[in-house]
Amino acid sequence: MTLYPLLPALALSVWAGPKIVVTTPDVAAVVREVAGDAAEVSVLASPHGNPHHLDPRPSHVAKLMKADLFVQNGLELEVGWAPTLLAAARNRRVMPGQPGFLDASDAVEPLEVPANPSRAEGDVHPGGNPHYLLFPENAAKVALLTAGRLAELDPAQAEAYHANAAAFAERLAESAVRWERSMAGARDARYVAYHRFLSYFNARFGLEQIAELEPLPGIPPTARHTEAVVALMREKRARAVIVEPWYEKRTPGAAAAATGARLASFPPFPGAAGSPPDYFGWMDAVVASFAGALTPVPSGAAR
Amino acid sequence: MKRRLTPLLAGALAFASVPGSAQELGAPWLRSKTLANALNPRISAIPDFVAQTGPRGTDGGFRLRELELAIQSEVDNYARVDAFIAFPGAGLFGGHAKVEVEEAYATLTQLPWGLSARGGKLLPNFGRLNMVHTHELDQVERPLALTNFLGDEGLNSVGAEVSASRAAGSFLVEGSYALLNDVGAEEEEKEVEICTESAGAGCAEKVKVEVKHDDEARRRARDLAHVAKLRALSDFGDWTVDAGLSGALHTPRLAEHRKLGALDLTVKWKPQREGLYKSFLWRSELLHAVRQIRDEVDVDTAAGTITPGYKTERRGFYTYGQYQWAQRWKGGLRLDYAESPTTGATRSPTRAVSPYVTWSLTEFNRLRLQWEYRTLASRAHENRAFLQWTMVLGPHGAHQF
Repeated sequence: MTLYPLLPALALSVWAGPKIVVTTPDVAAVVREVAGDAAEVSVLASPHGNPHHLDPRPSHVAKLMKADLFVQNGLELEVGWAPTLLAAARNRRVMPGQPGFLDASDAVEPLEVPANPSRAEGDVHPGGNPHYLLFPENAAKVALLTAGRLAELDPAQAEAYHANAAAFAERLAESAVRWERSMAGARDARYVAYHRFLSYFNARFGLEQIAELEPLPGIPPTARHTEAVVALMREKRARAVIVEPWYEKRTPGAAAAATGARLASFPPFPGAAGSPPDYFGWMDAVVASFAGALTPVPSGAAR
Repeated sequence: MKRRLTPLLAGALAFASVPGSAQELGAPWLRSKTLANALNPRISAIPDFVAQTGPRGTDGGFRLRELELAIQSEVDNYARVDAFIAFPGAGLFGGHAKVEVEEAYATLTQLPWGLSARGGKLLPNFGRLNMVHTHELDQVERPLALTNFLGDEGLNSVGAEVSASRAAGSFLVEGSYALLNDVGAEEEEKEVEICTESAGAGCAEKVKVEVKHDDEARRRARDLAHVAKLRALSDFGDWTVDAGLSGALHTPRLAEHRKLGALDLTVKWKPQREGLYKSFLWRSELLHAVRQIRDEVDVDTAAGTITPGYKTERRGFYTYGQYQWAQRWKGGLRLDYAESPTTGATRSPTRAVSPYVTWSLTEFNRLRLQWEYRTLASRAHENRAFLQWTMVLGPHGAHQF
């Protein structure tokens, strides 16, 4: 009788569901929707940090050592750190080529695939732009792909995984209507971003990103390039400079001040900048950020 | 459940296949073009240029110190091969214009129980920087203690290494053991100039000692070298602590005996939010080396003159701190202390202070300026200045965790 309080702890210690380790918080949000209560999901990258430059840590290796399924964003987003972590973890279940290794980008058609990838174009991704989950339909595709793999690894819960993915996609379809409605006022709005992070969001909601403050992906802003961007912002009447929270604000602030545009940020990942950790809450926050930043600038603002 | 699932799945598939802009703008044929050469090995080249000025006799001017060619690929689902071929530039640092296989080893990737094994010519897991290639160091040159005790290229030999790791929470413990032909380049020196014990503190008398090898004898297990390391790591918030204890033992029958020990500690700070712009690293390593030289018999003299063997016990350490204050800028200061591995009676320590600054134009293109103020055993001082330019061509990834 006195052992009853220990039963929940005992139940946790003998957790039978698969352990899933995901590289980025956005992919993890989708995987959690599919896994439901049947699996344990943990994420490596912090929502507050730039996912291109994660510093591999012992706790990351420890998570990977116990993983049954490793899900990466793909399109070379994690190329600087995921292979190092996988090698350090020595977990053959999740090595590339094994059923426990899943590249979520296999589900999507990437944007901005360079015809002739070259480092002269900056820190390019030869497979295409890796920030594809800002396109809700891609989240549905990733959910279905994940459900298929989880069903393979954990046949006892296969039906639940497929049902979860289907329910997630259905909610996405409903939510997409709401997000489109919220973004209607910002449609065709022009803005400048710090990094080429938002291509899928622009394509989905009809925004025009006229330039990036980085002269090339991954290359910090230069004075000459910033001057050119400011001139372009004036010419195109850009409404905002939008920057991910992990970048410096001095250059974006100067560009915004010089043109009267708004300086705004957005949560690049679920859980960032006070956004909820689930996909729907995150997208609600992203849409709210853009809808607020891209409404027409009052006519009295300096240009 | 099934009745509910079927329409849901149909709806999900319909939503997921919406021909939105992403699908229209994608270029699948370009992806397949990329995939067509996906089975080729990943080939990278890392040219490392160094310009140096220093005391009289220093080979100044620009030199290609080394061009490293890295070839890396999976063999199949059981093994991966990493090969690093060095094309040293002539002249500087005593380099010779000969091609050298720096490392070429196969790693078994499908071993159970968290084991990993690799075999071939390799830099074994010893100390903290032995597995780090020269162009990846935080400074232009290896710490003096490593050069003195492990050789210019580090502890590098042919053999096999097995390692395992265990985790508990954010705490990670790794252990490795390697069986190698020898413990590095130092043994390959045919002649070593020493100060004998009888020479006293003045070290006036010097004799030549031949360090003999017997290649046939290496085939016996007794002649192989053993290298082991125990490493513990953990992270606390934005901090990571990494500590290691290493040992190497080589007691061949017909050549000198060597024992090496190393204690290393690395503390790293990299904030999650500002990690692109700020970081800090402090690394230290203490080395202890013991050499036992055998009696040498000069067979050319009728009497068979015997040069007595001797034992040296030497220490060395380095410590450096490095701070990153901008996306592309890092600077640091390294302190070196290294006793001579070859002088018999005297420890002949060399000390050095090396401030440096590194400017990374991009992740693949780096310039470094370093100054070294060296104090020799004779109390004489030397100043050296280095300018290093390192580039990475191709997909060359990190060597290790």
